[in-house]
Amino acid sequence: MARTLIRRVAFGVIAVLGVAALAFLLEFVVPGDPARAIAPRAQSAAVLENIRIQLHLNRPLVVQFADYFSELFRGNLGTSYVQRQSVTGLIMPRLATTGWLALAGVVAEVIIGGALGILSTLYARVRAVVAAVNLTLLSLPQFVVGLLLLLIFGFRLHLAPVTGGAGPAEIVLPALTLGLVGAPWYAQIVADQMADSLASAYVRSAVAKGLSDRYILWRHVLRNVLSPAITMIGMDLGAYLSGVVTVEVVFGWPGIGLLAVDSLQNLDRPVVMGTVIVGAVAVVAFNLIADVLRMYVDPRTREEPA
Amino acid sequence: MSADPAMTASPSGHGRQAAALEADSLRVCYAGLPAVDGVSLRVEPGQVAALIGETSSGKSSLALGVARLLPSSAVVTGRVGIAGTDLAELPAREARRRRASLVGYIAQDAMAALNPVIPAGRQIAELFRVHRGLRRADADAQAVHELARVRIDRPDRVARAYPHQLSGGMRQRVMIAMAMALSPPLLIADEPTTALDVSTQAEILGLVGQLQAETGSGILWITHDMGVVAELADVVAVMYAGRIVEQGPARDVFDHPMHPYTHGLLRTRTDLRTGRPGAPLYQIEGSPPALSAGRVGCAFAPRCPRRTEICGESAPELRTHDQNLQAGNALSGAGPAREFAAAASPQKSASAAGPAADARRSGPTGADLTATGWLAACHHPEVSS
Repeated sequence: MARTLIRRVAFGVIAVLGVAALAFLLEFVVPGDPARAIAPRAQSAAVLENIRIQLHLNRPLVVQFADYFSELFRGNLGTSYVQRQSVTGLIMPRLATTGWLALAGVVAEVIIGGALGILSTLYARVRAVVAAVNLTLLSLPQFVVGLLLLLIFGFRLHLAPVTGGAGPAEIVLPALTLGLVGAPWYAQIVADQMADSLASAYVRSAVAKGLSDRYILWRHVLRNVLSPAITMIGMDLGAYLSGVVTVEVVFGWPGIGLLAVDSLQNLDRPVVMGTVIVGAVAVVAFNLIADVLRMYVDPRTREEPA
Repeated sequence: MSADPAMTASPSGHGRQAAALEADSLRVCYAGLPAVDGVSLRVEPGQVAALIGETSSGKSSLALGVARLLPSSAVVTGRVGIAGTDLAELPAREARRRRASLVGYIAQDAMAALNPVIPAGRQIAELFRVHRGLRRADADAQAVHELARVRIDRPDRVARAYPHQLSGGMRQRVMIAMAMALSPPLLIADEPTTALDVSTQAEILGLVGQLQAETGSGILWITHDMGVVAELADVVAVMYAGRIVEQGPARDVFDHPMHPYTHGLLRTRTDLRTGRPGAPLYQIEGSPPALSAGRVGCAFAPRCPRRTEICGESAPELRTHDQNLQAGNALSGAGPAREFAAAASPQKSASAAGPAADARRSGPTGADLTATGWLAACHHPEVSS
């Protein structure tokens, strides 16, 4: 188990570095001059050149690349071009803000999706309804769901704030948006796994043992659904932490996704790099955590691969 | 392979004691098609009844139908008494609660029949928590005790292991311990040794024999392995296309099979044992018929070497063919009073034999006869005198 973990961590580090390298190169493909973005009204070429020299943008790409990664290995993500502030200092509060939203969103999609999946498995009468709901949610883009919720609960019913921000009242609608859009996937795997499990020989054994339906559902069936659900939760948490751009833009949620969008528009390369790297780390970390949790709930995954 | 004398001993006084299993005209239909088509069967306490037949002959449907473990899509009719109780007559909840105390079910694939994410011991302990109201620690301890009972060394370790960490034989022992935990009067073993290697198979067979001697349960052992039958069984029922085509004391059926299908089954085994190397194995030509409603004639006729015109016209009844009933067969209750003239000539038509056979199959005497007599459902049984 320890060996598996070490290997997974090593792969994770390689993945993060690969993503960072790609992002770095990509920024130089994107047209635009950071110096002009920093000083849009500067008239003289000398001023712009001066800015480039300050930011080391005049050096060869290879040197800049080497510089950036040697700083990165020391844990330094650099300084924002625009905000004159360390990238780490900029990102960390945003990461926490997005973290709350990601967590709330995953909780929402697990509850909504889990309920839909369980209902459609246990009650044949609602199966068609659940399928229709799933299909509808799947085909609605995130921003449409978000704007709909905002219109109904914010502007019409005045139940939720519409001004943006990151308070406990403001989190409800964006989390619900993530929950609704993500729910069909959970509904599907829950329904599939439950159907497999209910048709299995071990559930027949449980029935033969005289256990009650409720007991069999909770102890025998849902435990077997947990493992794939955990994998998906890990993937979602990682992906959401690396930026739920659409939802953050629609609801004015000041998270890492908004920061990434702003920085891209400002050609604020160090901040863009920072958000990409933090996002990659989040994805790797949460997938790893999900794997470890799976080993806990499913003993079959504990064994070392031969 | 000699049978344990304790097991082959014929149970005495079964008329007074409720049979471990008494099935009467059991039918199991899927989508209107009969997988089990009117089977009557009786297993006495302490008896091993082997149910043999090819794949898809309806053996497993019969087993699950007896235990009332089939999905609701299957329609089960007929009476099934387990130690005098018919689960179908009880309210659903009570049937659910009492089933485990009445019948233990040992599945073919123990790996699939055990929950992969629950330790083996816990899966046995559940029984004691639900049925005996034991606390978790006590139930776990009792589960370890049950594992020791199926001759597992270090039962405490096996109790903590997950099914995938156990060997095939060990998993099957866990299954057996689970099925026998509440000492039910009837055990149904659905080809429990098929997936095991030969030496493990022998161990499991020995174990079941020993346990049965201790508990006196009746066992319905489903198999297509004649070696297993020879090892364990007191009585044999041969199933074909959802019906029992021959049944009787294991020795009689083995030595003088009456039904051509039984004949064929046994010949496949004889060839394996005595055949010369390189000689082609005997096999029954063709394959069993698909499920169908309203079949006319004998289901085995298309594959039967002894078929005649009558075989395509009427289905043969399960009935005795008395000249085979020799003294010393220990067929208690199936004495001369059941002499059956119509069966004297194997060529006699079914129309003559039918009503009489029907009379024998219905009612308590009929059930009694099916348990102990030697019967075949064939227009032209092979009768040796």
